Amino acid sequence: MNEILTFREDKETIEKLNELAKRKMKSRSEIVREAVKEYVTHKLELIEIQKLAAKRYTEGKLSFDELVDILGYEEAKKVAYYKDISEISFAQGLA
Amino acid sequence: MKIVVDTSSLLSIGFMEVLDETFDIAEVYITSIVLKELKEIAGYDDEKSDTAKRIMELVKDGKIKCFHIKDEQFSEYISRNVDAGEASCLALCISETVQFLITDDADAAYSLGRIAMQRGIKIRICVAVLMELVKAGIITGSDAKEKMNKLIQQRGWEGGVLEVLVRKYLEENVS
Repeated sequence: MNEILTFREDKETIEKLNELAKRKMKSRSEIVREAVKEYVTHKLELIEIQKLAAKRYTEGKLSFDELVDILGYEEAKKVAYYKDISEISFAQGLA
Repeated sequence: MKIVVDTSSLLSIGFMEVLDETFDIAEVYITSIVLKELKEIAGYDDEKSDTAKRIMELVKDGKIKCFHIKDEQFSEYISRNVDAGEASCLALCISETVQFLITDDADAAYSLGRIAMQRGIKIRICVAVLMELVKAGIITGSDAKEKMNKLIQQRGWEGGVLEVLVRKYLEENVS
């Protein structure tokens, strides 16, 4: 069963949504539904890839350079930093 | 020991059901912006809202101390990855000379890491509180493992890191 979701958006985005709906000859709801579906699917797939890469890196089965190849430099740096603070949190607690 | 805890970590600590135990090992500080975020979450209809309401009660009872931080004290720390709540927590660490900032937000932790280090502030995730409870004998290692495994299910890619570290620190050395 479909659920109704209500959201607020700024005027500029709503105007762009109106323009896109007009050009694609679709309703605004259809455009929003497609966008949300595509975004959510993509994000969930990305999280799974990141999760596997982060796990392998933490296990020492992936090098930092290999992590960069998979996630890109900025994301890899973030994963490496998170791994470091997590490891310290486990090892030292609040010491 | 004093700790400043942001919204993400407070919710994690609440989710692991160790909020009351945490007061035995630390004075918990938050900012009025974190409280505002909690009020917003409490208004939703999801699993986090009950935890947020419980935390708000603890603030009301004075068990969690809430500080007002002026905009000019934290606005410079706000960025694409750091929201006002997290930025205000860093500012609170600085103004109250608190050594530990607890955040479970990987983006914020990464972005605030350098400035925190320069200020002598240690960034930790909620696990640090859990491990401190184990060290203090308030919970056992197997309790901690169970709570962590529950928390991991709620996490995104961070769960991959935590899964490995739970094995390393709570399965190999379980008490």
